[in-house]
Amino acid sequence: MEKIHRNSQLMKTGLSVIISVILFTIGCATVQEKEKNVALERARAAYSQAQANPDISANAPVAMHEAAQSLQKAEQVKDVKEMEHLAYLAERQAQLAVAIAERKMAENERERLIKERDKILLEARERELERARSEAEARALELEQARKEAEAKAQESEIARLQSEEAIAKRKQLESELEELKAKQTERGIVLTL
Amino acid sequence: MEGKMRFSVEVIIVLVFFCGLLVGSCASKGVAPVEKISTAEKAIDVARESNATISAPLELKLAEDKLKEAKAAINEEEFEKAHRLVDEALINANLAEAKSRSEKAKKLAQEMRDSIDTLRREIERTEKLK
Repeated sequence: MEKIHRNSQLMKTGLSVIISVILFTIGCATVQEKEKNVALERARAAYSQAQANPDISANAPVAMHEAAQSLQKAEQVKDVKEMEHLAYLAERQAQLAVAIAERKMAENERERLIKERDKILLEARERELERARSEAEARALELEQARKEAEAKAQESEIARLQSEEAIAKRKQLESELEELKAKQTERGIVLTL
Repeated sequence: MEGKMRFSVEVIIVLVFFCGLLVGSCASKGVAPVEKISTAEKAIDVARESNATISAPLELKLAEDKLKEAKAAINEEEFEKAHRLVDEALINANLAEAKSRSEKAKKLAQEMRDSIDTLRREIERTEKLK
């Protein structure tokens, strides 16, 4: 009777020991699992956020590849410390990829803007040139007009000169004709002796 | 004769013991990350030169702290820990540099955008006058 009682006591103790060992193991496993999740969650989030933007893979492929590799290793490794370390590296590498890609995109944007500025300057200079050219043309036209007017005036004055010369010549001829007629200028007028 | 013999046996025992200790410590703790330490130091210098003290102070601080911890771990002969810490210091230094360079590039792009706006306004103004 007492033997049976002792046996059951022993069984009870054994059972409780087994149960506590199982509970402890489960507890450890869940804690480890939870730690794994917490540490990896940040890395996964950082990586998928970077991956969601196609510009980042395009502009920082090496950094993204390194982040992917670290993340993959972190997912597979058993040792908690090593897993946390790899997850940390993966998270930082994803952030590094974002920073590198943003730098490259900003540099490309600046290159594009420099070209745009040069184009604006060139176009403004061309408009300036065009304006100067049309102004010069207008000036030339004015000059041509003035030249023509001056020419016309010169022609007019030449005609006048010729006319006055002709008149002088006529007068001289008349005077010589009068001389021939031995005309005498007197107080009473011209006296012709025929 | 016998005393001398015992002495040399003792010496051999002590030597073997030390060799064992040395091999044991090397096997269990690995090698100090000496090269990685200098790589991380250089990366931190590069980050500082790229103006990370202002653009990415948090990452730079993390890099410096982790490097310090890595050196302390080497002194404690915790080489595995030192390896991890120095790797983390290096990635933080690289991140600090990348962030400050990207900040600079963004600023330059913005300056160019502003200068184009000014130029456009200037051109518009002078062309209206004529």
